[in-house]
Amino acid sequence: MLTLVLLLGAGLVACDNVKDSDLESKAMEIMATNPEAVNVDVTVVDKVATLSGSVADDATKSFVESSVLGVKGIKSAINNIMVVPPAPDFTEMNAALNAALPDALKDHPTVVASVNEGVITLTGEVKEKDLPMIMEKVSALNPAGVQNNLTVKGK
Amino acid sequence: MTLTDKYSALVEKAKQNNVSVKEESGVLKITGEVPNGDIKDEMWKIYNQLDPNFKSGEIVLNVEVKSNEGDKVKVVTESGNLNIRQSPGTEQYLVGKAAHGDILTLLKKVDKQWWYVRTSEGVEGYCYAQYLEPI
Repeated sequence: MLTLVLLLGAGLVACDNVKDSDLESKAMEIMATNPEAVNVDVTVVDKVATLSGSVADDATKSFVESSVLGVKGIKSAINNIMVVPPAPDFTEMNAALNAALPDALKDHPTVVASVNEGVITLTGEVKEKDLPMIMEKVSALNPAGVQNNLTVKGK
Repeated sequence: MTLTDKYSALVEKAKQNNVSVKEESGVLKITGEVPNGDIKDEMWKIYNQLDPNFKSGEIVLNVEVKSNEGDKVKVVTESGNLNIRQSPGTEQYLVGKAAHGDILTLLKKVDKQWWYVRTSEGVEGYCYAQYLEPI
């Protein structure tokens, strides 16, 4: 019994003796295996991990914290990671809009359309009665926005 | 004042008809299906009242009238004929024309822009969907 108590005590001492720097290294090794956590930094002081940096979404933020808490010896974590969604990529949307606009505006030759970051900008002159149909047609292409700079002339 | 407040009458109409309203990068996107053309027209009318001549760039109103393949659709050109084409695209060959007000059968929705239809005379081809309204 005494032996068991001594062994357990030795184990506890051994666990307490783990250096913060070693825990930090282990945590950072885990971060290095996660491509979504490349911008996360971990520091450990008194077995408490502090997470900083940025990730793309809340799910990754939570996952990173649970991964760090999985490191044996880390007692708790302070999660200061910021969630910064990536800038949207409009390449595909721009291409789809540019492909669809000629058909949409075929019956409106006085209208000129351009596309930037998913937003359709309309210029030119139209009759007031044609405006709703033009807006309906370009809105149906599901753009990120429609900037109507058309000059309305006459009914 | 938020966009939802500014366009509250439009947002309310959308919600009454289970149409999605989402604000993305300073634009209120109103997207979905409505039961009939009257509701769609009313939503465009409200939009035009709140934002005369649609100048603000704050709204994308993308609502369509709910329809299924096999439904009848009405040609809603301003007054002229609607081209019926061999394939989707305004450069494709014409296979026929439908007059303003004609009733066609919707056979297939290829995408949001082009629908495959059949006339009462049995001519089949593709028409630009914005000129067709489910009845």
